[in-house]
Amino acid sequence: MMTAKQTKKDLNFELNLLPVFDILSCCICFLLMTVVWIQIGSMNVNQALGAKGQAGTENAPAIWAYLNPSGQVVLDVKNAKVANWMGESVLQGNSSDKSISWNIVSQRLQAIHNAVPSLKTALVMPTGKSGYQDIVHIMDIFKQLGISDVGISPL
Amino acid sequence: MLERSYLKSQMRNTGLKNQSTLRPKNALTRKGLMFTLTLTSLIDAFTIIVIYLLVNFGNPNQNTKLNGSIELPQAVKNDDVGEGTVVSIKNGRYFFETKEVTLAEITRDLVEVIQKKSGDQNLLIEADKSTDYQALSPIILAGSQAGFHQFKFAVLQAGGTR
Repeated sequence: MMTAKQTKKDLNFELNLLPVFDILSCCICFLLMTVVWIQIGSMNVNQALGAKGQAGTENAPAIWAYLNPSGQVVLDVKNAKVANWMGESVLQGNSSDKSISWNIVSQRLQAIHNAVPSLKTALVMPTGKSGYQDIVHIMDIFKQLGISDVGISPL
Repeated sequence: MLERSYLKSQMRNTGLKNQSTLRPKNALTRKGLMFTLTLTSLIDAFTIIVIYLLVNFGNPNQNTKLNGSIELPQAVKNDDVGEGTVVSIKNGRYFFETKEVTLAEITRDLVEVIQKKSGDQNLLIEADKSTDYQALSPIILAGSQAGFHQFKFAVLQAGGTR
């Protein structure tokens, strides 16, 4: 016959946690070794292939950005009515190291985008000596402003 | 009724009371200094770490294998890498996936990719941030000639480290 004390003893079972502990340790080791620490993204560029005809279609506002070797950036707004100073902006670079003055470029692009909110297309026109970092930087500014269709002109 | 409660028995057999050296509540503690190690909280912490790592495991679509010496440019606004054909430039040499190729071979290989796979194909370009556009432009031209119209330039998220 089972007494009350024996019943209590049966209820106090012991759960062996060591296998769980081992499995969790293995999981942590595996995940730590295989986790991707570098977050790589991508800058998407759409290139027109010329398959679609443009006859009868209205040209959308666009901006062309010329990157010159001396750090000069020329911004040319197409198919939109803007002030003369904004229509074709020549932005000089830093004279000391011939790099691009990104603050000035960013501010001017912001002003252009405020004037032409429907601006959704941009084309980057680099030279052979243009740095990849500069190209990505100006594309990044375009994307931050909401200009989604960014293209690049081959040499 | 209360005397037979399971919780009551758990309270009575708690490990802290057993470990007390001043007034041990259980006779078993007098046998020696062997103490009960409570692993429950440790397992809780481990579980939280495992869940955190699983959530931050990364994008499964990200199959990019960076070449060791390529330092990618940084960008604030970027998209997912996704899947695509990878062409990389390292010290003026061109690599199709992992195989070193010449410019003429790149065009041929890209045409083969377009012919084999249906649907829209992406061309992922990996290049060092100091690369001149002169070295980059032939890949864009080759991709355009092959029929790619979606190019992806691999970048690092601004503020991240390598």
